[in-house]
Amino acid sequence: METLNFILPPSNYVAVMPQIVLVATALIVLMIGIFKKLVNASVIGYTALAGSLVALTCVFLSGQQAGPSATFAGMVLNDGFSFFLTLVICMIIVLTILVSLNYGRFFENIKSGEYYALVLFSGVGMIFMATAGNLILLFVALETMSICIYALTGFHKDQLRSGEAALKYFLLGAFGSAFLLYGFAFIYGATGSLDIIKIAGFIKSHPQILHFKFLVAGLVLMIAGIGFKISMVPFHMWTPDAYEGAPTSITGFMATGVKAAAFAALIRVILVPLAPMEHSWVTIMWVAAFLTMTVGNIIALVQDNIKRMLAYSSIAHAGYILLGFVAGTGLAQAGMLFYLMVYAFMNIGAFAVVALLCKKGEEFNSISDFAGLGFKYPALGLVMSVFLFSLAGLPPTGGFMGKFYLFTQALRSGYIWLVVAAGVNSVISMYYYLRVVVIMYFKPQPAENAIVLNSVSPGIVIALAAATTAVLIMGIFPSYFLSLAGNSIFSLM
Amino acid sequence: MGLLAIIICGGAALACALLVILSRNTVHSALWMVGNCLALAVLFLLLNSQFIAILQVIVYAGAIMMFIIYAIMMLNLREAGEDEFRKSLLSGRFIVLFLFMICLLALGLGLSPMALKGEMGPHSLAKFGEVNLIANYIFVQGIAAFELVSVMLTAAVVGAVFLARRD
Amino acid sequence: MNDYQSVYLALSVILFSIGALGVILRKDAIVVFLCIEIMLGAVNLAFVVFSRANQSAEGLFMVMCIMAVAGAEAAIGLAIFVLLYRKTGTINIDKFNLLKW
Repeated sequence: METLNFILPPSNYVAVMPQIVLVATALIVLMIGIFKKLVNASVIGYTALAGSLVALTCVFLSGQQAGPSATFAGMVLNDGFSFFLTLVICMIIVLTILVSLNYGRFFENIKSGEYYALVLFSGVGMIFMATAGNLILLFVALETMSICIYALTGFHKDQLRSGEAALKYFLLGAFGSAFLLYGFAFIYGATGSLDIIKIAGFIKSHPQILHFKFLVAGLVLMIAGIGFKISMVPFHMWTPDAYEGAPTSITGFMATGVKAAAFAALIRVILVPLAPMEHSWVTIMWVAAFLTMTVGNIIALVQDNIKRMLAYSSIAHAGYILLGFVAGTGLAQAGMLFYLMVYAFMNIGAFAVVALLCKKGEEFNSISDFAGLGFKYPALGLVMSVFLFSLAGLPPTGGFMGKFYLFTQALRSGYIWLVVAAGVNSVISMYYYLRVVVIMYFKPQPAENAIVLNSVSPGIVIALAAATTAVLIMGIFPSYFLSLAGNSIFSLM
Repeated sequence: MGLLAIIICGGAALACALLVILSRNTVHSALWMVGNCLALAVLFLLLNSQFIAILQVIVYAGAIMMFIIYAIMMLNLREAGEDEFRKSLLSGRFIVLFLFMICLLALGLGLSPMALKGEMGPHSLAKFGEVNLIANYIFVQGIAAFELVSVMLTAAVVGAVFLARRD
Repeated sequence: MNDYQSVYLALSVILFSIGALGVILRKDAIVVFLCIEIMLGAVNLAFVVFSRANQSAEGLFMVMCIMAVAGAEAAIGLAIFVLLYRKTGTINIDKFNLLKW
């Protein structure tokens, strides 16, 4: 019997430092959670916050090293795209934890160590999804993220709708990942590798393979599988229910983090390796983009629950982002990343405001609950208006710049009808976003059952201020962020 | 001989899978699922991947399925009581999915995979699937994914304990 | 060398379709979950076939990861089922109408 000698591949641990920090923090938070009775409950949340801030610092320190490189035998890619997405995801984690610190004052379960540990673990999954250079790692990362989110969706154990949302999300999510895996299997069968760079090389050197049906089947199944995660129509059925039932802090996390990570994975597996099959996937994306934005916007019109409305709005936004795939130019793809960043800030901001409106053990989720808030709490009303204007795509916010950029790029590539549809959709969407603003400012607050904000934790003030500033800066001075997004797309390995 | 073994085991796997979705009793469904796992394990053996076959029996049939059966027994879910089941079998969705199935089937049957030359060098078929080759992949090329699996399992345990705990 | 691979693949495709059919037709959450496991089994079969065709252990490692994920999903899924069963006494998907399906 010969002995086995494992020689580890040369590994750049600096490249995965944010993930290591997040895992370590999650384990520490779990340990503190055991001694919940001995320490102040807020210690748990602040430890998680400190850990995620350290991870964010690590991204800045380690980021943008010289040239793109692959480490861990090609499993982890360390390029500008990884840097950009890791940055966005770390910021989303920090904002989510800030929101949760306030939200946890109303709900006992949100204070627990398990909650923060699962948020951090799912953050690790998201970062690995964006940096994966191998479909094995991509799949495991996607499942790490999803399993944490399934559990977090059911975290209001005393509310039936939370458990129900977890059930629906879990069953449809697992169904979707089976399709994704079957797609990976066919791509493996066609190209003989699961490594993204090797797949790209194989397809480039064997052009005849493009007519091989396994590759097409793999592509379609893979888009369907990731489509479940980005809530692309017709795989969006779980979105409104899961978003409505989940704790509001987690809804914000799901709407931004999961979507950013899933779009990153889609860009990684489709743009570079399957670039020669563009003619196949552009058609799919065209139809998907059109259906996604239309269905999302039209159903959002009739919603009375703000979380459900924002859920349909997030479906519609996925449709706008898909425009970047259709347009196909490098600039359009940069616009896609820029929009993803703006979307993260404006959406998590809107959900942060919704998460503020709670009382002990209860959420105010109806749109009519917003009546009169604009004058009673001017700062809150102003901030919410900024987020809603940005979601509607009005200047001078980041949402306007993002849409403008994506639409012009799609127009330049000649997709006039799709851009017209997107424009009509944007106009439709203004109705339901501005309705909330109108209710906030022009409807009197009801006499009974009025919302009273006693004291607000400093964390959420910082979170809201940061998100508002980011949305406005990206709207007024977009060039820096656009060039960052452009660099990250062009360094895509 | 080889083809006969495939047809017998494959037929058993298909029959078990069909019985999973056709049984009215949840416990029976779970037991047929165990049968499906065992039939798949034999297919893996026929494909020269002994290690995966062993894992299939120990992990899938042994651990996961027993876990599910335990949960069914604990929740006392033996009575499925699905009156709408037979109705929906005939509804439109069934037909749509059946067509989809046929399309995929045609795809699977019509094309045999390209015989690609692996990059691991010329191993004989008998050597393929031996545990030391897999170990070499796991602990050298796949180390990052392997570590992430440990994070995923930790997260799953934390989440499951929290959700199922009575408090 | 190319022995019966298309037979195995056809088997995998049919198994996957049976699993997908079950997910759509059945209403009992545990049976739906079992059907998802059938689909994962079909995926595993496809990976082993392709891995053998390529003579590389990559696909086999993927199969191991899929098994680990199936275990983790079973843990989370059954925890959710237990949580709901305690509240409502059923895990029939049709019985949950609080949120529109």
